[in-house]
Amino acid sequence: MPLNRAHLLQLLGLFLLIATIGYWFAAGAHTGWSQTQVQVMQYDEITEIEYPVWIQQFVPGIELLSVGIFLSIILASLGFILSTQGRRADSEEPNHKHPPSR
Amino acid sequence: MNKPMQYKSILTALLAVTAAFQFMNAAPRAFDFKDPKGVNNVQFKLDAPLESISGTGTGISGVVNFDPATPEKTSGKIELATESLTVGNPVMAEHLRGAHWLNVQEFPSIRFELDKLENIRSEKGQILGDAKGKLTIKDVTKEVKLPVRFTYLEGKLGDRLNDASIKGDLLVIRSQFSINRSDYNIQPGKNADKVAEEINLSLSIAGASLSQ
Repeated sequence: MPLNRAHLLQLLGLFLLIATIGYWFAAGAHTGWSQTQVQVMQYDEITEIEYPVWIQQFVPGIELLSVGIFLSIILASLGFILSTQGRRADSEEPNHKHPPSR
Repeated sequence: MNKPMQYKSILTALLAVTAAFQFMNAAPRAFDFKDPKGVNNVQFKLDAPLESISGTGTGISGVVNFDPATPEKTSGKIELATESLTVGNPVMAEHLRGAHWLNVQEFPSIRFELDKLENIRSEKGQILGDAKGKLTIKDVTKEVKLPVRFTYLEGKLGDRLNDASIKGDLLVIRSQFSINRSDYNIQPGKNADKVAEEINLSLSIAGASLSQ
């Protein structure tokens, strides 16, 4: 069923687009490159110095967002091509699917 | 005046003169900035049109000779191990320390040597001034004047080390300033859209001096 596969790919593309943008926003919408550690400030009470401590945490960057959007466009495009081919095949072979009634 | 009273007056005067002489000749105390707690830090931030980069350096060492009574006599040297500089992205951190940027293999430290403390003033128990000295980054040494703030914490060393038997003082130095990377031969004029020309630096360090 080429039409079903086409719809599936388009839905997958849409899902990937929403998931990528949603994840990127939820993780802080970082516009630089992805990071594997983030800086958390702590406070030394005696000296009153604020000092950074690095903790391991993944922050998606602009390259991950770009890859996600690119893949979703590819999936949606494939779905569109498949659905066009399916429709063309249907229109080219009408006799097989709908035999004339007498 | 009877004789014992005269002796007492002379003795008091002698003691006062001795104390004043000692005070005038008191040498500034050496504060060691090698921090066992890892609190001392330098933070840097670069804001380029396409990317904002921020990171830290914690490998600080050096000695500052300081006396709160005579801050104009302050001297010393602070070093930052370039290997300790890091940013959130590991690839970027590798580039930062690599041969094209800071080249930490060849230039393992960034140094500031204080020549003179100028424009000294006091504010809310802190001593403010302009530290005039030589800043060395990579193979370039430049005369700079940095705004500094000293906080002298008398008898606080034991509290910091959670050991009341340790007697000593702390000296906290803070400074915020900026430099241009091309002045120090850090990829001058390159990648300006992603790596800003101006580097904003914020220094917060504490040094310790044991009581003798």
